Amino acid sequence: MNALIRDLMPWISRICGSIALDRGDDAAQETLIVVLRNLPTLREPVALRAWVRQIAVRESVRVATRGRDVPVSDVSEGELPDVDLDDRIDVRETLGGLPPRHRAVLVLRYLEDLSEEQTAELLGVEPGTVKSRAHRAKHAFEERWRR
Amino acid sequence: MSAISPEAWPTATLDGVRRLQVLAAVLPGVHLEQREIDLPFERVWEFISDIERNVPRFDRDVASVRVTRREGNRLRIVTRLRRGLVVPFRVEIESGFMLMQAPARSYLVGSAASALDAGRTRYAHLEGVPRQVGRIGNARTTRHVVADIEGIARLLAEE
Repeated sequence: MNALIRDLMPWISRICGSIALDRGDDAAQETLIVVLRNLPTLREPVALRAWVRQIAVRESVRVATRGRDVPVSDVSEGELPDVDLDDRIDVRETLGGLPPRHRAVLVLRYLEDLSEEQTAELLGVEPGTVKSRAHRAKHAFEERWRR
Repeated sequence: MSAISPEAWPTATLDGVRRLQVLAAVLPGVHLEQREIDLPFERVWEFISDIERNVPRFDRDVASVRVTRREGNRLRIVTRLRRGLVVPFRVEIESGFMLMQAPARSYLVGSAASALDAGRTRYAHLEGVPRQVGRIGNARTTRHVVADIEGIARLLAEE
Protein backbone atom coordinates (compact mmCIF):
# COMPACT_ATOMS: atom_id res chain seq x y z
CA MET A 1 0.00 0.00 0.00
CA ASN A 2 2.88 2.32 0.83
CA ALA A 3 4.45 1.44 -2.53
CA LEU A 4 1.21 2.35 -4.31
CA ILE A 5 1.13 5.70 -2.51
CA ARG A 6 4.69 6.33 -3.63
CA ASP A 7 3.87 5.41 -7.23
CA LEU A 8 0.70 7.51 -7.45
CA MET A 9 1.89 10.54 -5.53
CA PRO A 10 4.06 12.28 -8.20
CA TRP A 11 1.13 12.26 -10.60
CA ILE A 12 -1.60 13.05 -8.08
CA SER A 13 0.50 15.87 -6.66
CA ARG A 14 0.31 17.91 -9.90
CA ILE A 15 -3.43 17.47 -10.30
CA CYS A 16 -4.17 18.30 -6.66
CA GLY A 17 -1.58 21.06 -6.40
CA SER A 18 -2.81 22.79 -9.55
CA ILE A 19 -6.50 22.66 -8.67
CA ALA A 20 -6.50 23.01 -4.88
CA LEU A 21 -3.35 25.19 -4.72
CA ASP A 22 -2.73 26.00 -1.01
CA ARG A 23 -4.97 23.10 -0.03
CA GLY A 24 -3.24 20.74 -2.43
CA ASP A 25 -1.70 18.67 0.37
CA ASP A 26 -5.15 18.10 1.89
CA ALA A 27 -6.57 17.20 -1.52
CA ALA A 28 -3.76 14.72 -2.22
CA GLN A 29 -4.25 13.09 1.17
CA GLU A 30 -8.01 12.77 0.71
CA THR A 31 -7.56 11.48 -2.84
CA LEU A 32 -5.29 8.70 -1.62
CA ILE A 33 -7.71 7.75 1.14
CA VAL A 34 -10.59 7.45 -1.35
CA VAL A 35 -8.43 5.55 -3.86
CA LEU A 36 -7.07 3.06 -1.34
CA ARG A 37 -10.45 2.49 0.33
CA ASN A 38 -12.15 1.79 -2.98
CA LEU A 39 -9.37 -0.02 -4.82
CA PRO A 40 -11.00 -3.46 -4.35
CA THR A 41 -14.04 -2.18 -6.27
CA LEU A 42 -11.97 -1.35 -9.36
CA ARG A 43 -12.87 -4.11 -11.81
CA GLU A 44 -10.48 -3.20 -14.61
CA PRO A 45 -6.91 -2.52 -13.44
CA VAL A 46 -6.12 -0.92 -16.82
CA ALA A 47 -8.60 1.80 -15.92
CA LEU A 48 -6.63 2.72 -12.78
CA ARG A 49 -5.19 5.94 -14.15
CA ALA A 50 -8.52 7.33 -15.38
CA TRP A 51 -10.20 6.30 -12.14
CA VAL A 52 -7.55 7.92 -9.94
CA ARG A 53 -7.61 11.06 -12.11
CA GLN A 54 -11.34 11.39 -11.64
CA ILE A 55 -11.04 11.03 -7.86
CA ALA A 56 -8.13 13.48 -7.69
CA VAL A 57 -10.03 16.13 -9.64
CA ARG A 58 -13.21 15.66 -7.63
CA GLU A 59 -11.43 15.76 -4.26
CA SER A 60 -9.35 18.78 -5.31
CA VAL A 61 -12.39 20.80 -6.34
CA ARG A 62 -14.21 19.73 -3.18
CA VAL A 63 -11.30 20.65 -0.89
CA ALA A 64 -10.63 23.92 -2.72
CA THR A 65 -14.24 25.05 -2.53
CA ARG A 66 -14.88 23.92 1.05
CA GLY A 67 -16.13 26.90 3.03
CA ARG A 68 -15.52 29.35 0.25
CA ASP A 69 -17.75 31.34 -2.03
CA VAL A 70 -17.01 30.09 -5.49
CA PRO A 71 -17.56 32.38 -8.46
CA VAL A 72 -19.20 30.32 -11.15
CA SER A 73 -19.78 32.82 -13.93
CA ASP A 74 -18.08 32.13 -17.21
CA VAL A 75 -16.89 34.82 -19.55
CA SER A 76 -18.38 34.81 -23.00
CA GLU A 77 -16.68 32.72 -25.55
CA GLY A 78 -14.65 34.25 -28.34
CA GLU A 79 -11.83 33.59 -30.72
CA LEU A 80 -8.39 34.20 -29.29
CA PRO A 81 -5.03 33.81 -30.99
CA ASP A 82 -3.32 30.55 -30.10
CA VAL A 83 -0.36 31.83 -28.12
CA ASP A 84 2.42 29.83 -26.60
CA LEU A 85 3.12 30.60 -23.01
CA ASP A 86 6.27 29.60 -21.23
CA ASP A 87 7.37 28.89 -17.72
CA ARG A 88 8.23 32.52 -17.03
CA ILE A 89 4.63 32.97 -16.14
CA ASP A 90 3.86 32.40 -12.54
CA VAL A 91 1.47 29.55 -13.16
CA ARG A 92 0.46 29.25 -9.53
CA GLU A 93 -0.46 32.90 -9.19
CA THR A 94 -2.47 32.89 -12.39
CA LEU A 95 -4.32 29.74 -11.41
CA GLY A 96 -5.09 31.41 -8.08
CA GLY A 97 -7.17 34.00 -9.93
CA LEU A 98 -9.48 31.32 -11.29
CA PRO A 99 -12.24 29.34 -9.54
CA PRO A 100 -11.33 25.70 -8.73
CA ARG A 101 -13.68 24.29 -11.40
CA HIS A 102 -11.92 26.35 -14.05
CA ARG A 103 -8.56 25.20 -12.77
CA ALA A 104 -9.84 21.64 -13.10
CA VAL A 105 -10.63 22.25 -16.77
CA LEU A 106 -7.13 23.62 -17.33
CA VAL A 107 -5.47 20.71 -15.62
CA LEU A 108 -7.45 18.14 -17.58
CA ARG A 109 -7.04 19.86 -20.92
CA TYR A 110 -3.42 21.00 -20.73
CA LEU A 111 -1.70 18.89 -18.09
CA GLU A 112 -3.56 15.62 -18.61
CA ASP A 113 -4.08 16.31 -22.31
CA LEU A 114 -7.73 15.23 -22.41
CA SER A 115 -10.09 16.32 -25.16
CA GLU A 116 -12.98 18.72 -24.52
CA GLU A 117 -15.37 15.79 -24.64
CA GLN A 118 -13.33 13.69 -22.19
CA THR A 119 -12.97 16.66 -19.85
CA ALA A 120 -16.69 17.37 -19.99
CA GLU A 121 -17.53 13.75 -19.25
CA LEU A 122 -15.15 13.58 -16.29
CA LEU A 123 -16.48 16.81 -14.80
CA GLY A 124 -20.11 16.02 -15.59
CA VAL A 125 -20.67 19.20 -17.59
CA GLU A 126 -21.46 20.06 -21.20
CA PRO A 127 -18.57 20.35 -23.70
CA GLY A 128 -19.59 23.98 -24.21
CA THR A 129 -18.95 24.67 -20.53
CA VAL A 130 -15.49 23.16 -20.82
CA LYS A 131 -14.84 25.35 -23.84
CA SER A 132 -15.90 28.54 -22.09
CA ARG A 133 -13.97 27.74 -18.92
CA ALA A 134 -10.86 26.92 -20.91
CA HIS A 135 -11.32 30.18 -22.77
CA ARG A 136 -11.50 32.16 -19.57
CA ALA A 137 -8.45 30.41 -18.15
CA LYS A 138 -6.51 31.00 -21.31
CA HIS A 139 -7.50 34.64 -21.23
CA ALA A 140 -6.20 34.97 -17.67
CA PHE A 141 -2.86 33.50 -18.69
CA GLU A 142 -2.63 35.78 -21.69
CA GLU A 143 -3.35 38.86 -19.61
CA ARG A 144 -0.53 37.92 -17.33
CA TRP A 145 1.74 37.17 -20.25
CA ARG A 146 1.20 40.63 -21.71
CA ARG A 147 2.30 42.42 -18.51
CA MET B 1 -1.04 26.85 -23.11
CA SER B 2 0.48 23.54 -24.01
CA ALA B 3 3.88 25.23 -23.80
CA ILE B 4 3.68 25.16 -20.02
CA SER B 5 5.97 22.33 -19.02
CA PRO B 6 4.66 19.76 -16.51
CA GLU B 7 7.25 21.01 -14.01
CA ALA B 8 5.71 24.50 -13.99
CA TRP B 9 2.37 23.32 -12.60
CA PRO B 10 1.98 23.65 -8.81
CA THR B 11 2.44 20.42 -6.90
CA ALA B 12 1.11 19.09 -3.62
CA THR B 13 3.27 17.21 -1.17
CA LEU B 14 2.57 14.37 1.23
CA ASP B 15 4.96 14.39 4.15
CA GLY B 16 5.54 11.35 6.31
CA VAL B 17 2.91 12.31 8.88
CA ARG B 18 0.25 12.68 6.19
CA ARG B 19 1.32 9.37 4.65
CA LEU B 20 0.79 7.65 7.99
CA GLN B 21 -2.58 9.40 8.33
CA VAL B 22 -3.60 7.90 4.97
CA LEU B 23 -2.60 4.40 6.13
CA ALA B 24 -4.45 4.89 9.41
CA ALA B 25 -7.58 5.96 7.54
CA VAL B 26 -7.67 2.91 5.28
CA LEU B 27 -6.29 0.07 7.40
CA PRO B 28 -8.60 -1.40 10.01
CA GLY B 29 -6.92 -2.59 13.19
CA VAL B 30 -4.20 0.07 13.30
CA HIS B 31 -4.16 3.10 15.56
CA LEU B 32 -2.40 6.43 15.04
CA GLU B 33 -1.37 8.89 17.73
CA GLN B 34 0.24 12.28 17.19
CA ARG B 35 2.12 14.65 19.47
CA GLU B 36 3.84 17.99 19.14
CA ILE B 37 7.32 17.67 20.59
CA ASP B 38 9.32 20.74 21.60
CA LEU B 39 12.50 19.61 19.90
CA PRO B 40 13.90 20.13 16.39
CA PHE B 41 12.99 17.58 13.72
CA GLU B 42 16.60 16.40 13.40
CA ARG B 43 16.76 15.52 17.09
CA VAL B 44 13.46 13.64 17.03
CA TRP B 45 14.32 11.73 13.89
CA GLU B 46 17.78 10.82 15.14
CA PHE B 47 16.09 9.22 18.15
CA ILE B 48 13.42 7.39 16.12
CA SER B 49 15.79 6.05 13.47
CA ASP B 50 18.09 4.51 16.08
CA ILE B 51 15.74 1.56 16.38
CA GLU B 52 18.22 -0.90 17.94
CA ARG B 53 18.86 1.40 20.88
CA ASN B 54 15.55 3.12 21.38
CA VAL B 55 12.65 0.79 20.48
CA PRO B 56 13.30 -1.47 23.52
CA ARG B 57 13.41 1.66 25.70
CA PHE B 58 9.93 2.92 24.80
CA ASP B 59 8.07 -0.24 23.73
CA ARG B 60 7.15 -2.24 26.80
CA ASP B 61 6.73 -5.45 24.75
CA VAL B 62 10.15 -5.38 23.06
CA ALA B 63 13.26 -6.77 24.74
CA SER B 64 15.70 -6.18 21.87
CA VAL B 65 15.98 -5.17 18.21
CA ARG B 66 18.81 -6.25 15.94
CA VAL B 67 19.44 -5.03 12.40
CA THR B 68 20.39 -8.07 10.32
CA ARG B 69 20.62 -6.49 6.86
CA ARG B 70 20.91 -2.99 5.45
CA GLU B 71 20.34 -2.16 1.75
CA GLY B 72 19.95 1.57 1.16
CA ASN B 73 16.76 2.65 2.86
CA ARG B 74 15.59 -0.93 3.44
CA LEU B 75 16.46 -2.90 6.53
CA ARG B 76 15.74 -6.34 7.89
CA ILE B 77 15.45 -6.48 11.65
CA VAL B 78 14.74 -9.14 14.23
CA THR B 79 12.69 -8.14 17.24
CA ARG B 80 12.69 -10.23 20.40
CA LEU B 81 9.61 -9.70 22.53
CA ARG B 82 9.71 -9.83 26.33
CA ARG B 83 7.50 -12.92 26.34
CA GLY B 84 10.09 -14.71 24.18
CA LEU B 85 8.61 -14.49 20.70
CA VAL B 86 10.99 -13.52 17.89
CA VAL B 87 9.47 -11.45 15.06
CA PRO B 88 11.34 -10.38 11.92
CA PHE B 89 10.35 -7.10 10.23
CA ARG B 90 11.05 -5.55 6.84
CA VAL B 91 11.74 -1.86 7.35
CA GLU B 92 11.56 1.07 4.93
CA ILE B 93 13.19 4.16 6.32
CA GLU B 94 13.76 7.64 4.95
CA SER B 95 14.01 11.05 6.54
CA GLY B 96 10.75 11.64 8.39
CA PHE B 97 9.10 8.30 7.58
CA MET B 98 9.56 4.70 8.65
CA LEU B 99 7.39 1.65 8.11
CA MET B 100 8.03 -1.76 9.68
CA GLN B 101 6.09 -4.80 8.43
CA ALA B 102 6.03 -8.26 9.99
CA PRO B 103 5.65 -11.30 7.66
CA ALA B 104 2.24 -11.81 6.01
CA ARG B 105 1.26 -8.31 7.13
CA SER B 106 0.70 -9.70 10.60
CA TYR B 107 1.79 -6.45 12.27
CA LEU B 108 2.59 -2.94 11.13
CA VAL B 109 4.56 -0.18 12.85
CA GLY B 110 4.87 3.31 11.40
CA SER B 111 6.76 6.39 12.58
CA ALA B 112 6.74 9.81 10.98
CA ALA B 113 7.89 13.29 11.86
CA SER B 114 7.66 16.69 10.23
CA ALA B 115 9.06 20.02 11.38
CA LEU B 116 6.49 22.51 12.65
CA ASP B 117 9.17 25.17 12.99
CA ALA B 118 12.87 25.28 13.88
CA GLY B 119 12.29 23.99 17.40
CA ARG B 120 9.08 21.95 17.24
CA THR B 121 8.19 18.70 15.55
CA ARG B 122 4.94 16.85 14.86
CA TYR B 123 5.47 13.17 15.56
CA ALA B 124 3.04 10.43 14.52
CA HIS B 125 3.12 6.80 15.61
CA LEU B 126 1.04 3.98 14.12
CA GLU B 127 0.80 0.35 15.10
CA GLY B 128 -1.51 -2.59 14.76
CA VAL B 129 -2.64 -5.67 12.91
CA PRO B 130 -3.82 -4.28 9.56
CA ARG B 131 -7.13 -6.14 9.41
CA GLN B 132 -10.37 -6.31 11.40
CA VAL B 133 -9.46 -7.20 14.99
CA GLY B 134 -12.62 -6.34 16.91
CA ARG B 135 -13.30 -3.87 19.69
CA ILE B 136 -11.06 -5.49 22.30
CA GLY B 137 -8.16 -5.77 19.87
CA ASN B 138 -8.59 -2.15 18.87
CA ALA B 139 -8.62 -1.02 22.50
CA ARG B 140 -5.44 -2.97 23.22
CA THR B 141 -3.70 -1.47 20.18
CA THR B 142 -4.77 2.02 21.18
CA ARG B 143 -3.39 1.56 24.72
CA HIS B 144 -0.12 0.25 23.30
CA VAL B 145 0.33 3.12 20.83
CA VAL B 146 -0.48 5.72 23.49
CA ALA B 147 2.09 4.13 25.82
CA ASP B 148 4.70 4.10 23.05
CA ILE B 149 4.27 7.72 22.07
CA GLU B 150 4.28 8.84 25.69
CA GLY B 151 7.48 6.84 26.21
CA ILE B 152 9.08 8.46 23.17
CA ALA B 153 8.14 11.96 24.35
CA ARG B 154 9.41 11.23 27.86
CA LEU B 155 12.74 9.79 26.72
CA LEU B 156 13.32 12.65 24.32
CA ALA B 157 12.61 15.16 27.09
CA GLU B 158 15.04 13.38 29.41
CA GLU B 159 17.95 13.18 26.96
